[in-house]
Amino acid sequence: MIRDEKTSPEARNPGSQPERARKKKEMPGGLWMRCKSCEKTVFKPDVERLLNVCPECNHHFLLNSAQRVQLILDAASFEEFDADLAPRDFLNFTDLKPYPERLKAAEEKTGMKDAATVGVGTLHGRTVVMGVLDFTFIGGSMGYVVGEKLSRAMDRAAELKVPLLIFTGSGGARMMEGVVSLMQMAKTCAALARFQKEGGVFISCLTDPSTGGVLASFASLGDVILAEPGAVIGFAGPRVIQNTIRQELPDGFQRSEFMLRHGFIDRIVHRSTLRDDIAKILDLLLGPMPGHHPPAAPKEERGEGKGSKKGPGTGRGKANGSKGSSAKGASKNSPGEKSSKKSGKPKSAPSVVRESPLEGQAKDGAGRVAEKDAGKTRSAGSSNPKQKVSQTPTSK
Amino acid sequence: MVKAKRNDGPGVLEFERPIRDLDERIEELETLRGSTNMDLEPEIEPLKERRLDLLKKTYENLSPWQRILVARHPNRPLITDYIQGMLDAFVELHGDRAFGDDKAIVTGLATMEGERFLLVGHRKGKSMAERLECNFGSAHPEGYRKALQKMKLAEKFGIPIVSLINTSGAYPGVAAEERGQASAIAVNIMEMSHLKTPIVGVVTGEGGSGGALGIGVCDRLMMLENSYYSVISPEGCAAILWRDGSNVQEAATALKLTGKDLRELGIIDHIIPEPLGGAHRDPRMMILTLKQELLKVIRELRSQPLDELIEARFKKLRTLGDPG
Repeated sequence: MIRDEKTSPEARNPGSQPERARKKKEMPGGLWMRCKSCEKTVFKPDVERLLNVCPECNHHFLLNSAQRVQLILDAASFEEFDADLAPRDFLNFTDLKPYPERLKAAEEKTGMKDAATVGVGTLHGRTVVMGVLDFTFIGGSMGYVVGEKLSRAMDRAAELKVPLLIFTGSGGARMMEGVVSLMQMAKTCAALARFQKEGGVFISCLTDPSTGGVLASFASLGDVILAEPGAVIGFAGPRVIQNTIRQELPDGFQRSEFMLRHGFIDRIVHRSTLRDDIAKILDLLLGPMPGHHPPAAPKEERGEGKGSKKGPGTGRGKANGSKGSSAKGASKNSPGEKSSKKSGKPKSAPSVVRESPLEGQAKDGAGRVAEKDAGKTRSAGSSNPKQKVSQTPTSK
Repeated sequence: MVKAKRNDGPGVLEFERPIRDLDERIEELETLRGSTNMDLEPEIEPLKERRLDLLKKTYENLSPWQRILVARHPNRPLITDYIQGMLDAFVELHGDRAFGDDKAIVTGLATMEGERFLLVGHRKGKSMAERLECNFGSAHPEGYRKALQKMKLAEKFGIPIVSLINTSGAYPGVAAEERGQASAIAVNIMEMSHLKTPIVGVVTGEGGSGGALGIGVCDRLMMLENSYYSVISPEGCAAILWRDGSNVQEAATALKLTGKDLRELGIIDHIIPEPLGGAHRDPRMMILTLKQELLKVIRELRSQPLDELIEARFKKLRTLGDPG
């Protein structure tokens, strides 16, 4: 079921939306904010530079769809489709407010017609279909439009024979559309089954929160399932469970780390490396050359050859620890691949630089930030004990 | 004469009380007639007519919330009744081959008038001990995985699947989360969307959200007249949207969860009529009706080429909620 937006404080506190955050009258000048997780006062530009992650406790604040797209895809590569698909009030549903009013309010707040954004873009030069569920639109809940848009995204990915990435931030099915929304679970699963049976790769990325009917359908069916640290991930709402068992819920219950421990997600990935990790996984699954669908067997020799040309990449891979070094090496290939494919492109965009795609949006000079960030994010990763805890056993 | 309080308490719903009162009067008079040989027919007959009228009127005009109460009625036939009353043979198959045997979902091989099929269904339990044993019909992940494992068996041998849905929802608990409730349901939904054998789904009582859909993806979806199917329980919906659990009646109405609503929305294919006054008044009749409906649908689906069936199922799922 949908979780009310109000239950998630960070929904109203997206760090890189200065005008809204400034209204939050917390600190003078809007330069400081209080982290909802650790309750420490943090410097907002720091949070923004870290892609909306708390520098103190590593809490991942929500990203809206536009920010998510910007974080993941190559700059300006995203072409949205079906943006005009608008929700209908199937049931003439009215609770305290009529559903159409809720929709209107959500549209005014977000500028979107419904919670899903879908489109085609490139990631390290590889064409992908990407979908995002935006929690700020009625809790990211899945009604007809969300189900339909995601299913169309699956169809499109099948047609183009490209990977599918879906980022969920959703409380579940949208109850204002009743069983129609429940049936979107069946719809998306059916469409996904076809896509995957034809060899399509689906990477499901769970962000805070991913619960209910969304998790009980397509989001749990990724060929690879990733999660951002600390995201709430679960089937039933914690209050419902508490009412059933009548005792306190265990610490960290229904968080990414809990789900990892119990075997339901493949990796927890920090936001700063999410884009690169996804690119890397796609490279390893499909072979480094973009533009090929699964039947094209991954060719390791080719990958290694390219990788060896790139000196700095190998070094960075090592710096990140031994276990993931092969993966790191492969990711290094991607810039090489890209530059060999798109010969005009400068080689100056190795993956680390892309750790700060939001920076552009956060009105800093992209180059400056990128350089600064390359070091900063990295050092944040090693200096922050909490981040290390969540990352060490999982992603590195 | 001692006034026998038949069925009072949980068995009598509030809106059924006038009917119950008439029942009692009729019974009193009949007892009196039996013991005194008085001719009470002129008094009993009109009462019986009134009772029938009242029953019809009440059940024709049930509010969605009242229908939910009927769907949850303790005397309503459950899967064990259908197994006993409907099938010629039933061999239950237990366990998910991975973790355990969830009593909240029954699976087994069945025959009925020469039709072989796999029966899958929620089990709520009759006695309190049985209800506790199967968590009142709320399944854990192993229940959904058991269902899938048996459904794949049915697919392998070309046996149709009959799924009897009656759950308030999948079990919400710590262990269920730890074992991947969402994942288990998701996998079932996906696999059922292309399982190569006919699937018939019937909501016999409660169709509680993902817990129902987890064994509910099918070629023909039917609902008993007094069952409901909803994305969330009206209690949950009221608590979240009205911020007050007492608005269940409004929530039940708003959610459009009755067979009639869902038929109009194109979600279900068919409503199976119940005996007058609900299945709990005449379980035997209900079981017979369901049996006939199932036989009809199984035979119809069996006559279709499998490829066409699967394609039609996909189309149906893929267009759920489409305009027109």
